[in-house]
Order: sequence, then structure tokens, then C-alpha cells
Amino acid sequence: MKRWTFLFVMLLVAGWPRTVPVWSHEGPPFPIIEGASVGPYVVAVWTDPDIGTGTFFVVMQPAEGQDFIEPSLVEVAVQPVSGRLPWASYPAEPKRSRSGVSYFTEVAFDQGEFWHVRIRIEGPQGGGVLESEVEATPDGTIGPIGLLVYVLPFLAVGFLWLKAFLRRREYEQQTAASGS
Amino acid sequence: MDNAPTTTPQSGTDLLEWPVIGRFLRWRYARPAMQLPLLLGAIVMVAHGFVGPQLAPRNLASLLTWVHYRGVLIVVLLVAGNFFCMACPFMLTRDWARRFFKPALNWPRWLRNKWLAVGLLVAVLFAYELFDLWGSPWWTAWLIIGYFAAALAVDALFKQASFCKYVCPIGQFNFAASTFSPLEVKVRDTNTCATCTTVDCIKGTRHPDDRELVLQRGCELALFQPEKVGNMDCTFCLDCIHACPHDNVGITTRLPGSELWDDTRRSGIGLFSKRKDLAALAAIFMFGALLNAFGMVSPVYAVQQWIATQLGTTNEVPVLAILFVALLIVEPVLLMGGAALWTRRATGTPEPLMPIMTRFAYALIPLACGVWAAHYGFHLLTGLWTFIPVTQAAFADFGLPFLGEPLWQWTGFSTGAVYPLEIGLISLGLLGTLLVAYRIAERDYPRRARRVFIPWAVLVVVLWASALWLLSQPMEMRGTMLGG
Repeated sequence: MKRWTFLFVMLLVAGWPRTVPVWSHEGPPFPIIEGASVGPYVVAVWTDPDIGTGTFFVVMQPAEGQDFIEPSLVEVAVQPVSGRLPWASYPAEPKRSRSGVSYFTEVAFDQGEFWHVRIRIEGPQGGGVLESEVEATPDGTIGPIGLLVYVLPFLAVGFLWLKAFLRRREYEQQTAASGS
Repeated sequence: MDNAPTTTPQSGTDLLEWPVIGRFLRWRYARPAMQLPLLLGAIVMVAHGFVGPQLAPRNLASLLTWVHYRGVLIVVLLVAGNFFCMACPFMLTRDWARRFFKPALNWPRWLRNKWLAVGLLVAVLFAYELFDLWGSPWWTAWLIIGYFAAALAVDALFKQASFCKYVCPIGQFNFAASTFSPLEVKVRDTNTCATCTTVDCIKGTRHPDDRELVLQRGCELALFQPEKVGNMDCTFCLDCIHACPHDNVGITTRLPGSELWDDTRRSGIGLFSKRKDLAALAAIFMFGALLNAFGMVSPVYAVQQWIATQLGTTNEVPVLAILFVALLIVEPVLLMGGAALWTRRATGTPEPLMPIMTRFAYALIPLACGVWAAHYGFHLLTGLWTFIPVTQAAFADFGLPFLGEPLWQWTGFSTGAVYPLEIGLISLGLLGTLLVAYRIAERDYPRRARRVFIPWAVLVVVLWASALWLLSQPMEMRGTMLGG
């Protein structure tokens, strides 16, 4: 049994998902701008900068003591920091949210590098521009070999469970037979 | 029908014999030592829920409740046991309150079952969808307060652990899942119990001069150790361990799920096969897992919109009510009733359908555990590190920015990396459910086990496939993104 336990632990270690280095990002969106004042709005910008398609959420709340006024334009523009490509602009669409209004858009990040990000907001009571930078990173999808590694611990657990189940069944049948 | 009691082979490991953990768990104050940090955490969460930012992924109340607590809860249940009931902070405040208020009432006899708790579990799932609780720190904070208040109120009025056993929806979730846990609080040597005359494990110990003064509680959930089978209703409170004068109660390893096909009479519970309320809990645990996952995938909006159009309403209550009735009552009755009908035909007996459904309902628990673990594990892993920047920001919100600038890029695993884990967990659940269903078929119909097994195998494969489909849909990453 110890042999199987050792094998199981080894498989578990091998299959444990890679932890995410802090300098690159593979998980869900995170904020790159927090609590910025733009015209009559308080704005936060969250992004999931995957290579290929990156997503941006522009969360807008009214400034203190004001009512929310629908902006006429929310736009996200990106450009590689290296300047190898021109600015590309993407209009953001409103998305239902409990906390104010959020605007959502997807942008194209053709390769992993640092990108300038510019968010333009316009509305009847004013607007403005916010700027930041973000690194486009792989989306974290695992390939077939990774998938195989992921499968191994589950196979090991399933195998051990089945083995223990059969031993238990045999034991119970023997006990029942000897008792009757 | 053959219903021979089963005998358990001696388990291999006793957690109480482990060097550090065992010593800690034997310590008289082990439980409060685990409850206190959770109580402090709950206080911080409630405070942040009320005064912090109302953006769910930025607030400790919503983030820790819906991303971290649920995920860690199911993981701990499946890799260890019911340690969250052990560390339950509601019971800490209740114990403090009981120093001043001695409950005088016994829990009403007609409520000594799981029906109320099952109803409350469904009510929590309903409120979760109706009020988008995952997206509201404010409502989440009120939910936590409401929970503390309910536990205090019930246990201030009623004796024993009435809230845990008959009311607590989280407790019922934990009880159901812990039937599939690898650890169990259990008597070490039954011969020692046979010669025991004091039965402190159930009665507790009282001061010799003052019989009103309890020195050590016995089991408040009416589980008499020598006749206790499995984890149902066991909160891992350690009372029996501390009470036993013979040091004869341990926390031992066992084959996960083995109690699900064991139909011996259980102390404080009776026979699983006769408990329709427990079977209903198992069924709600299974179909509720699917419903809860269904609530966070894109197709649910289309279904809700369709129902709303048919009803000509914009009110979400009737729409959700129809969805809940369809998925938690109609679907289980049709699917399990169909399997039971098939079983009856396979055996050629005139047995009523309800007892068959009751006996086989427990087989659904492993698959349900897989679905809950896949669903909550998804949220936990995709938002694993988010508690770090949100905690930093929360302390800054409270005017204590000593934790530094929030590390917002600390998030979690990508959805692509988590998806294979979800498939693995659900598939392990499928394996467990198939094996348990086969053992139940073998136990109740030894001569026709395979024929009886087939309809239940078909049922669980259908449920497994629907779970796979659900988890392959685009999910709202609640609490970790702007999903609500």
C-alpha cells in the first residue's frame, strides 16, 4: 500500500497546477486604474490582457453626490510600447452591473509585450482621458501534454479508490458469509 | 430484500495519533482556537461589506464568502472531513451566549428531521440567485449577520445543538458532503465501550457536587459513539473525544463514501433507507449542485428570458420559482422515479417507488460532491490570490495602509488551466456514484444486482453529462470579475 501512496503523491505533485508568477498574469481580470476622476465619473479599469484577445472593463460610478449620466463615448485604445504598431481604438459597450455601470470591450494583442492603454470617456457633462500600461501575457490554456499531466492525479485517485473499494467489498462479503 | 448489516474493517490512521495535529486536536481549547480566527474574519468581512467598496471583487465580504470560503470548504470536506463545522464561528458566539441564557426548551418533536433545513438550503440557493448575493457585499454582510443571529436565537431557546442538527443550511451541506470524506470521528475499540458504564461521550460530565454544572459536554447532536455510523450529523466538535474517560474516540481514516451503502441503524439517525428527509437532502445536494452551476452560465439567461416572456412578466421571483421547481422537484422526481420504475420492473416486485428512490438517493452524493467541487473549485482557483490585494486595499479603506500598495496582478489560475481539473473532479464523482449505486443494488437485490444497477447507472451518466455540459459553458467569474 505504501508503494501506491508514494505513486499517488508523486502524481499529485506532478499534476498540481503551476502557480502564477506575480510578474505575469494568467488568471481573471485585475484593475489597472482605480478611483480615477474623469469629468463627472469615478472610473476603474479592469483588464484580462491575454495574447490574442484582451478584455477591458471600464467601471463608471457617479462622482460623490451626483447622478449617473450616460456617457456618449467610452473607448479603449492600445499601442505597443515599442511603437511598432499604430494606436488601435475599440468602442466599449455597456454591460449590466450592480455597482454602477461597466463598459466592456475586447482588443487585439498580437504578441506578448507591454502595451500603452488609453481610455477616452466623453459625456454631456465632460469627460477625459486615462492612460496606463499593461503586459499582454499568454492566456494559460494548457496543451495536450499539460492535459495529460492534469489527468494523471485523477486517474491515480480513481485507481486507488477502486482498489480500496474492491478490497472493502471482498472483506464485507467474507464477513457476511462467515456470520451467516 | 437482503439487508445484512455490514462490518467495518479497522481503519489505518488516527489523526489524533499524529505528532502535531493530534496533540493540537486533543487540546481542550482546540475548537475555540480555530473558531476565533474565523470569528475575527467574519467581523472584518461584515465591516468591509458595509463600509467598503460595493464592487464585489474589491470587497472582502463578497470575495471571501463566495470565492474562498466556499471553495476551501468543499476541498477540506473532500480531502479531510467536516472541519468547517468544527471551526464554525457561529457556535463560538452561541457558546458565549449560553453562559448567560440557559435554553429551556426541547426542539419540537415534529421538527426533528431535515425537512426544515432542506427547505432553508433551497431558500439560500434561491436568495443567492434572486438577490445576486455574489455581487453584493452589502447583502452578503447582512447574510453573515443573519446567520449569527439565527444560530444565537435558536440555540438560546432550544437545548442541545438544535441549530446545527435541524436548521443550519451550511451544516446540512457539510453533513451531506462529509459522507464522502476520508475521515470520521469513531470509536477505536468497541470492546472498551461494551464495558463502559458512564457513557460520557453522550451524557457529558457534570460536577459531582453541582449536577447543573457541565464540566464537559457530551454529543449535542445525539450521536452515541458506540452506535454512531459515518459522518451524517457529526460536526467534528471534539466533545466526545474530550468527554471519553477511556480515550477511546479517534478521528480515523476510512474508505470515502462507504457509509452511503451501509444501512445499519445509526445512533441519532436511524436507518438511512427509512429517512425520506435525508434522501431528499441527498437529492437536493445533487440537483442543487447542477442548479447552482446552471445559474452562472450563459444559457440560464436565455431560459429565464423565455420563461419571463411566456409569463409576460419582468418580475424575477416567479421566473426563478419556476426554474427551481423544474430543476429541484420535477426533474429529480422524473429521473429518479423513472430509474425506480425501471428497477421495479427489473426485479419483478410490486415494491412502491418511494422506498427505492430513498435507498438509491444516497448514491448521488459522490457525483454531487464532484459537481460542487468543480464549480466552487473553479471560483477558488481562478481567484486564488485575489484575497491578498483585496485585503491590502481593505486595510487601506479602513485607514490602515500598512500592508502596502495592493498587488492587483495577484489573481489566480486561468480558466483554461482549471477546466481539466473540473472534468477530473466530476469524473471522480461519477466513479464514486457508480460504485455506491452498485453496492446498494448488491445489498438490496443480491440476485439481480446488475439488472437493478443499470437504470441508476444510466441516470448518473445523464447527470454527469449534463454537469460536463454546464461547466463547459462560458461562466461568470463571480467575485473575481465584473460578472454580476
